[in-house]
Amino acid sequence: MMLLPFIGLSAIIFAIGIYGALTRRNAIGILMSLELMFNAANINLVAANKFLNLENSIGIIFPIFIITIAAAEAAVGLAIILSLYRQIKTVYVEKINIMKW
Amino acid sequence: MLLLLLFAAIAIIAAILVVSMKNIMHCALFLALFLLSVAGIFFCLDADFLGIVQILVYVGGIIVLILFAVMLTSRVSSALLEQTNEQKGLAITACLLLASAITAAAFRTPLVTSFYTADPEGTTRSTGELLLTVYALPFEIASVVLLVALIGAIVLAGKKGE
Repeated sequence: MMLLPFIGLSAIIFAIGIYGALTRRNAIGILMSLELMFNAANINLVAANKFLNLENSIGIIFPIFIITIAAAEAAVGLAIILSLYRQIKTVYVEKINIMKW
Repeated sequence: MLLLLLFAAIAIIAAILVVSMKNIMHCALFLALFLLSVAGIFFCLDADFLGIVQILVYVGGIIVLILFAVMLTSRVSSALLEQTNEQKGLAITACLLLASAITAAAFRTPLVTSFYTADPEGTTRSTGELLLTVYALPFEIASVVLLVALIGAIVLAGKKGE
């Protein structure tokens, strides 16, 4: 039981999330990839709290705030996507180019 | 230890399926599986309060939101459309480079390992005390952020012209 396997695990999950955010055409798919990256960061923090014995158990507190911000991000992001879908009838990001000059 | 390996394996496989499945609905369900296995990893790492928060907020809240959005925006034909763009090869290369760079940097960093001895009562009591004493200001700011996000989501997604 060491810290390094957990850093490896979260690096793998973070890379998978980056891959999804770069290649998905569906905007909801991109939001799901963002959730993967948030969770990779949380795994890192919790493992650091367990193995490095951080002060004031910051590794437990910080993920709570990350989860809070992730929930706010998901709510606002999905509201934007719904609003876009109502306006231009698509969620595919290469078709959403109304702000492109 | 075995349980931790199992959860990690499920998490990686589910994450790969989330970014590679064609039907976005199945992606959302695999995201739920991924989040549950991350909660399992949290439980194995003595962060029981965080595991419960993960299940409540992510699986109970965000997945439901995503499923609603998927059902409101997808058409019958969209399951047949190509879900990835033409940057696939480049993206895979970049991600492999990134993962190996992070791992290499972690291996080179000298880390002083000192084990955290878990409270037999669990972390809920100490987390609550810390949230209301040391971290009281971030806690209040987080609640304001949630309120702003709530109002913003209503304004963005609500009906216009009423």
